[in-house]
Amino acid sequence: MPYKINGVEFPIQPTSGRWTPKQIFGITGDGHAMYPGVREFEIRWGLLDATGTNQLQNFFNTVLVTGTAVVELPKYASPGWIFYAYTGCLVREPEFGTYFNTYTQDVTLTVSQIRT
Amino acid sequence: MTVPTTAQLNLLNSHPQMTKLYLSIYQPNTVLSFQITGSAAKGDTVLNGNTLSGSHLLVESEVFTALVGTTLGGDEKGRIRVRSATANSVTVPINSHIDWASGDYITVLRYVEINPVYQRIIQDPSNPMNTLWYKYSDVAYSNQNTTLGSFVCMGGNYAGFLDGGQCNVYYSASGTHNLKSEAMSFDWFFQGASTTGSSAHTPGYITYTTPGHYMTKLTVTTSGSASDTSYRFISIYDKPEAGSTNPIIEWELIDMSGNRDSGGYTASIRVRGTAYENVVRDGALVIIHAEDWYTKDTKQSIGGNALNRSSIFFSGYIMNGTIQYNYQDGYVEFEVASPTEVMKSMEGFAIDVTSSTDPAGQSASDPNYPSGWVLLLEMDGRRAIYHYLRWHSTVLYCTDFDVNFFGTDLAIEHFTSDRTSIYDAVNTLMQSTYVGEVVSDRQGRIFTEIAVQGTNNASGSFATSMEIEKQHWIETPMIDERQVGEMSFLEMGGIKYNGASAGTFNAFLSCAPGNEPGLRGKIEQAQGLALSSQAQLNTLVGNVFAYKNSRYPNIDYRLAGNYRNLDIAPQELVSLSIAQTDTPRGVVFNKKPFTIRNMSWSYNPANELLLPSIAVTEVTQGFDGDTISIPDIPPTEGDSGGGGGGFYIPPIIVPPFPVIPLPTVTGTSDHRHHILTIHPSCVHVGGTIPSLSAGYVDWNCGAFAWDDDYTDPDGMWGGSDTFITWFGGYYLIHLEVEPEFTTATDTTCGVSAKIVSTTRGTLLDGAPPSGGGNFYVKASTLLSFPTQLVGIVYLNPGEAFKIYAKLVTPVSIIGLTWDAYLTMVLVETL
Repeated sequence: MPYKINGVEFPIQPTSGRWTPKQIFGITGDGHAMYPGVREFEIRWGLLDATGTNQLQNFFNTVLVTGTAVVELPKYASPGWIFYAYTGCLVREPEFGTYFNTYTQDVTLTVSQIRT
Repeated sequence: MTVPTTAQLNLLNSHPQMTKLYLSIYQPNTVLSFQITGSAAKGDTVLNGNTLSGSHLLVESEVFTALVGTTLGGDEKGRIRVRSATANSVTVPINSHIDWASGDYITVLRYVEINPVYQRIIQDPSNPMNTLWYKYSDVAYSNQNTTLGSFVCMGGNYAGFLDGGQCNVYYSASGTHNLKSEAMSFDWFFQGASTTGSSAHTPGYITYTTPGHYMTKLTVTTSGSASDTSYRFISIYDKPEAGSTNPIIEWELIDMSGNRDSGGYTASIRVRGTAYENVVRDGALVIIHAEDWYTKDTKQSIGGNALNRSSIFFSGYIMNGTIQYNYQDGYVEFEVASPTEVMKSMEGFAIDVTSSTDPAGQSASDPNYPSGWVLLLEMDGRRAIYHYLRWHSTVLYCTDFDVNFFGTDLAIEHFTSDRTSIYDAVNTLMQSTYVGEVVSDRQGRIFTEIAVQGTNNASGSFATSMEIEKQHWIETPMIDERQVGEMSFLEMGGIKYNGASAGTFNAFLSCAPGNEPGLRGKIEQAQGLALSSQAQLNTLVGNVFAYKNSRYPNIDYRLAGNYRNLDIAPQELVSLSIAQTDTPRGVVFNKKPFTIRNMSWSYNPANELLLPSIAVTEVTQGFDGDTISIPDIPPTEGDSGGGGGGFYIPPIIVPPFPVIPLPTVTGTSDHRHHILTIHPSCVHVGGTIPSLSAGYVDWNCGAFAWDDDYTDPDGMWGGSDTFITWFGGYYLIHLEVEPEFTTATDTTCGVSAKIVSTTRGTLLDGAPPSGGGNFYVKASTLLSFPTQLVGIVYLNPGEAFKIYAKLVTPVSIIGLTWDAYLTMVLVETL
C-alpha cells in the first residue's frame, strides 16, 4: 500500500518511515508522564532523483498555503499492516541531504500533528 | 474564572489534550471616505468637504474612529473620534493634535477605540463671572448625573469559523448593571448576521453565514430614560482548508501573562510574512480563538467568563509603539494587551464630583458648584466609576465592564481624580476607598471588585473554581513560605458617609494587630476608606494585616492541562491539597483556599499544547484590630496617628494682643444672624432670637447649630448648644445689636446682655474679678441704637456658659428683625 498525501502517491515510494517517539512535556505531581496528543511520522528516502526532489518540494509549497493535509500512513500501533488516512496533518518542509551523482541522499519529510 | 461542571472538570483533567490557536486581527469596514476641500486649520472641529465613498448615515454618533491623512485611507496625520457627519461636513471633538489642511482625507471606520474624552470649560460670554461646562465638547448638563445609566455587558469581541456554512455566536446582556436598578429594555443590532436585530435580554445564538468583519451594537434604555450604547466587533473566517478568508496562519504566541496587580494580560505575538503588515496597526483589535480536543476525540472548549464564548482564548489590542518589523527574518512582532493596559496608556482630565440629592438644583442655587456635572446623585463607588468612564472616556462603548462582583458598595461624598491615566483613576478609587482592584480577564471583560483581603470571611464569600491536587500540576510546586510577618503595624482610617440626604459622616480609625505593633516588619498607613462602621473597619484592618503577613504569599504551579476555567478575574478561589510526601519541604495543605494572582500561558503549536502556570496567594482571615480614638486636635507632623507611639505638640496659645479696635463683623441678608467670635481663629455662627419681649431671651435656644460654612480649625469649642471654653482666662466681650426700625421712636430702646455659667450655675455679672474668681459684663440702658456692650468675663478652662440678651425698653418693636453681632476675644490666659 502506497504512502499518499492528499490522495496523491509519491512518485517514488519512501525507503522507510517511522512514528517518531513523543516527547514528554512533563511529569505530573503523581508521577505520570505527560505526552502531547499528536504524533509525528517521519518519511525517508535514501535516494531521490531530481524529478522526485522537485515534485516533493512543489508538493510542500502547495500545502504550505492551505495548512493541513490528508496523509495516508501505516496505521499507528495497528494489529495488522494497513494504511490509514489521517486528516488535519501538517507537513514540514522536506529536508534534503547531500547529492550523490544526480540523486539527493537522505531525504526526510516529517508529517506532524497527527491525531492517532 | 468559571466554576466547571463535573463533566467539564473530567474533561479538563483528561489526557491527552489538544488545542489549536488562531490569530484574528479585526479589519474595520470603512463607512465614510471624505476629503476636506474648504479651508481647514489646527483646532477646527467642523471640516467641510465632499464625501468620496460610503455614507455619512453609517457614522454612529460620538465614537467611531477616523483616520486622517494626506492619502485616501492614510493615518499619518492622526486619528480622532467622529462626532457626526453629513454629506459635506465631518464634525470632530475639540482637538489640537491634528494640523488640518484642505485636501486631507478623513476615513471613518466602523470601529471604536478606547480613548479619553475631554471636557470643555469656558467663560460664559454673557457673564464673565460664570463658567460653562460641557462634556463631549458640547454636551451641557441637563439631568445626566441624576438619571444615571447602565454598565452594558454584551459579551466580548469575537472571532470564529464558519462550520458547515455557518457560525453561531452567542449573545447575552448578562452582567448589564443599571445604577438605579430600573427596568431596562434592550435593542440589539447584528451587522452581517442572518438576524439583524433583537429586543431580548439574551438573543442567544445568532448565525453568520458569510466571512467578514462585523459590528454588533446594543443600546440599553432604562425606565428612567437613561440610554447607553456599546459596540463589539466580530470576525468570521473560513477554516484554512475550507475557504480563502482565513485568519492569520503564520504566527507565534511568544509569551502571554497576566496578573491582578497590573490589571490584565499582555501577550507578545510574532506574525511572519509581509501580507499582514497593513493589518497590524496600533490599536487594532486582536483575538486569539481556539479549537480544543479532550481525550483525543471530544471537541469542546471549556472556560472563559463570557457565556458560551469558551473558544475565545484572548482578546486585546495592539499596544501603541510596540510594533517592530524585522525585514531580515521577515516578521513583524508586537504586543497585545487587555483593555485595562490600553486604559493605562492614555490620560484623562482631573475631575471632582460630589454627592448630591439634586445635582441640577444644587448647582443652580449653590455658587460652589458651577455645574451639575460636578455633582452626582447619591454617589457610591459604582456611580463614581460610571460617571468617570461614561463622560471622560470611550471605555464603556467598547468593553464589558462588570460591576456585579463589586462586593458591598458604600456611599462616598467625593470622588477626585488627578490628571492621570484612565485606568489609574478608577483603580485608585477602588484601591484606596474599597480595598479593591480593577482587572481584565483574558477575554477582555473588566471586573471591578473588592479584593480578597478586603472581604471578611473570604474563603466562604468567593466561589471555588476547582481543587488542585498533585495530578493537576507538573513537577513540583514552588512554595514561598513566610515564617515572620513583613508588617508589624497597620493603621487604616476612613469615613462612613451617611449619604447626600443626611449630609453627615463619621470618621473611624483602627489599627492591627492592636495598639502594640508586632515585633518585626514595617508600619503602613492607609486612609480614605469608605466604611460602614467602626466594627467593620476593625475587621477590615485585621484582615488586611493578616493578608499582608500571610504565611504562603506565593505558590507557583505549572498545570498539566488546558485549565482555561482559571483566570485572574473575577476573583475565585482554588483549593490546594498537598500531601506531606508531595514536596521535600513536607508542607501539608488540605483543601486550603488560595486565590490566583498571576497566570501565564505557553503554547506549543507543534504539539498542540496550551498550558498555564499560575501563582496563587493564601486566603487569610485575620482577627479584629483595635479602635483608635480620633483626637479632637489632628496629629501634627511627626505624630503617628495617636496609636503608633508618636507624640503631640501642645497647642500654641495665642498670646494677649490689643483688643481695641474690636473687629467689626458684617451681617448678611439674614437679619437674624448672630456671629460669635470667641477666638480670633474660631468663629461660631448661627442661632436666632425667636422673640423679643421684655426680659432675657435664651440666646442659645432653639436650633442653635454650627453653621454649614464653619469649620472649627483648632477644635476649640465642644458641643453646639452650650459654649464650652478650651482655655481659661479673661475674655473681652463685644455685643452690638442693630434692629431694623419702622418708626423714629423705636430708636430709643435699650438692650442688655449677660452670661451665665452653666458649670458654676452662676450669673456672671457683678463686681470686677478679684483673685481671678469672677468677671463682670457691662449692660447698657436706654442707649440709642445701634448699641454696643463691652465687658470682661473670666471663664475657667472647660467651662460651659450661655449668653442671654435682654430688650430693656420699649417693647413696641417686638417682631422686628435684628442683626446682633457678638465677639468674644481671649485677652489673657491664667
